[in-house]
Amino acid sequence: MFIIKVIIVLISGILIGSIISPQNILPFLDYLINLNLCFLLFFAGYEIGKAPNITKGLKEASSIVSLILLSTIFGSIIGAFIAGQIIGFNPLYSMSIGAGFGWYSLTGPLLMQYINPYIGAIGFTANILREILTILLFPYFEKIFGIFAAISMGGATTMDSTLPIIIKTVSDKKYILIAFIHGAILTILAPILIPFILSI
Amino acid sequence: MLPFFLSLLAGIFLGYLLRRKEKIFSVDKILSFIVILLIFFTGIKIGSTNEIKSMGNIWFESIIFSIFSIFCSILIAMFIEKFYWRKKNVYNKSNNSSY
Repeated sequence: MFIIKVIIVLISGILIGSIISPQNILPFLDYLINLNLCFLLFFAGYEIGKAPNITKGLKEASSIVSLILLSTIFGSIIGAFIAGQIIGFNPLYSMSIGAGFGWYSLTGPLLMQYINPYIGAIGFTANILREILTILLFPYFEKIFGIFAAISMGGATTMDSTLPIIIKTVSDKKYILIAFIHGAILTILAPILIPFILSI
Repeated sequence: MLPFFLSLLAGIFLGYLLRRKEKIFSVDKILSFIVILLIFFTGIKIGSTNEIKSMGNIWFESIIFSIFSIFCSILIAMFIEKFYWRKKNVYNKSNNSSY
């Protein structure tokens, strides 16, 4: 089964990464990831273009993207606010952790600079967990909660790190495009929203 | 971000041009391979990030934040999706009945 391969590969990747800690090859790793993503997007695009009635699907896609975006933005920020209330955090700090939308490499350093290393570390781990949980749970959540909810769960990562699992899961190809645009818009929004929330 | 958009657009364009052609190659197999490779690299990147090792005491807070963000997103999205399909069905039905 595909998901078992995914789990094995993800865990072995994390283990290998934490054991050898390849700081010197990180730039090369980033390059490899970006290159692979380009290939992934090319072939995913090929599938989308080949799908029948794609022009009709595109019109519908734009309204679906905006609806999922609304859920992700409000859901993440409200959810983080509630979480902050439970553990007794400053509400603005909490909401800025949620406004990372799963983009840990942005949220962590940004909050470390704006607030303090402790909040930065939580922003980092909370968002990394969001990414890992999406990779592992997307196929199931898509069935249980629906495609809107599953894409919304992925946040900004639906344009890159969780896009692979989305591509392998969805049967209606237009949702690949929807997930990508959803992630791309959040990737633009997160670096604007986090400083904005903290400046309130 | 631009290379990503261009790759996607190039793929869509090529797929659209070849939409009437028979299957030339198995996209599904290529995709599976790239997906596995990407998840492996993502794993290495997560594991090799130093921040994650030096923080045993923040797991609880992080899990709470992560779960609530995900849960609220899902809740709102489910509500919106239900509403969306219902509205669409009503719209389609009223369209069909006019024929």
